[in-house]
Amino acid sequence: MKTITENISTERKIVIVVTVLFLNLILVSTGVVLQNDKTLFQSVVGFVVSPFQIGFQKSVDFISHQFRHYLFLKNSFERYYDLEKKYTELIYQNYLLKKKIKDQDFLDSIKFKRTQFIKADVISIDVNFPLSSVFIDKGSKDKIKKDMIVLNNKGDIVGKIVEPITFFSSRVRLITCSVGGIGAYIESDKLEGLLTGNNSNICSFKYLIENRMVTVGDMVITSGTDRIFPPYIPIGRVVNVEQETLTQKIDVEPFFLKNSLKQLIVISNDQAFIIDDQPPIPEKLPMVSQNRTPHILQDNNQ
Amino acid sequence: MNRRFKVLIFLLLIIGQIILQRYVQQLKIHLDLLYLILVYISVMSGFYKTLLTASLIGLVTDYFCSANLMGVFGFSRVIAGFILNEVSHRIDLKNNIFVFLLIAVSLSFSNAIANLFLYFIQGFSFNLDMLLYQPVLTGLLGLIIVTSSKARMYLDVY
Repeated sequence: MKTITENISTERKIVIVVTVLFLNLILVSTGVVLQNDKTLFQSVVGFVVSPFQIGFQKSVDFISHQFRHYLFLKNSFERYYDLEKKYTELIYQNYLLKKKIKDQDFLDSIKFKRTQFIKADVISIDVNFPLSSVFIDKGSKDKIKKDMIVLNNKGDIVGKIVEPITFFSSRVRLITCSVGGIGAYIESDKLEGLLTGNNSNICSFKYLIENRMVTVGDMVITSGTDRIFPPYIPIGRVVNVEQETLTQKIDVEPFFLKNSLKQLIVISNDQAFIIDDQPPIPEKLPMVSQNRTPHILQDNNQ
Repeated sequence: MNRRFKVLIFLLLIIGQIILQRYVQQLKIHLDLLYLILVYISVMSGFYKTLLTASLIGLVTDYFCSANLMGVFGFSRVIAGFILNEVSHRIDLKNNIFVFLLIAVSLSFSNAIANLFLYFIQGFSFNLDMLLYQPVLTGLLGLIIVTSSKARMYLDVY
């Protein structure tokens, strides 16, 4: 290969490289030591890069949309008919669930302040740690704020909004990320703990006492005690239980991993829910396992 | 023509990276196409250009792939760029094996540094995809690009 050689002494090269590396270390330390999760560099890079990415993504979506809608119209009537049928079923299910919740006086303890759900498209997934974070095409211009919760289009919890939030895009930290955690219940026996991820497709309960039996297949839902995620949203199912000294280690497979991350829903309230000082544990939890669609998506007008 | 071809290849790599970052879950292909740009510039250009490119690519990678910790990939890519710039003058890049090894080993080393930072700071575990699978795939792709006859002619390689 043809290469260019410059007349720079090795000492000078090393000094320059060390200086650049030192600058990078300062950048890292602003994030770690100063707990500054919104650096100037991040904002600048995000502001420059995300419009290109969103533009490209929208172009690809537009082309595929045209293909889907104009070239693949075959069987569209049948699909429309099926959707109509599903819609009617959902309305009926919605009615039944509302009735069930009212019967349990469940809404008195949780006062939702819902305004709207923002639909967002995923524009980028962390290539190195795909189960750590994703970027969505909604940013501060869409009033996205830190700690807003994110669901997938099936209503399963996906994660929450974290910095950087730029004008055009924002980052979603997935519940499978090893940073952070989520307050959760085992639905069957109301056993509560902190569910944490480890950048794999399994999340784990830590420090869960072993006096109550947990079985594989049990449903796991949010508890609301972390004051970020609203309670009773489905998270996943228990896939493994290991007994340890005094505690038990419980592995949970999140539901959102069963679908590809394309479209997400951000709950846009400043305060998605208000919960009493001591989160109530109802005697009978609504069995979301029967119908995994969370009620917060359904009774939007209450 | 050479310049236009280079820009075209770089653009394709950038677009490819955008597509990969969007569809990585479905495609299950872990490639770092931006790193190929860094390798090319490190081998073909001088010290300052290498450092600048490494810093820029590092910052962009940081924004998308380092769990909200800017500077991690900036650091690791600068080291990789410097090593590539120094080593490429000393090895026979006409041999395809060395081209592959240069890309794969340097990317693995660079990713290992980044992973080490993420391990100590964020508690991220060591990721085999990042340390082995991605470097090998990226190395193979780099080898395919470099050894194709047109690219060989227009990219000024050999």
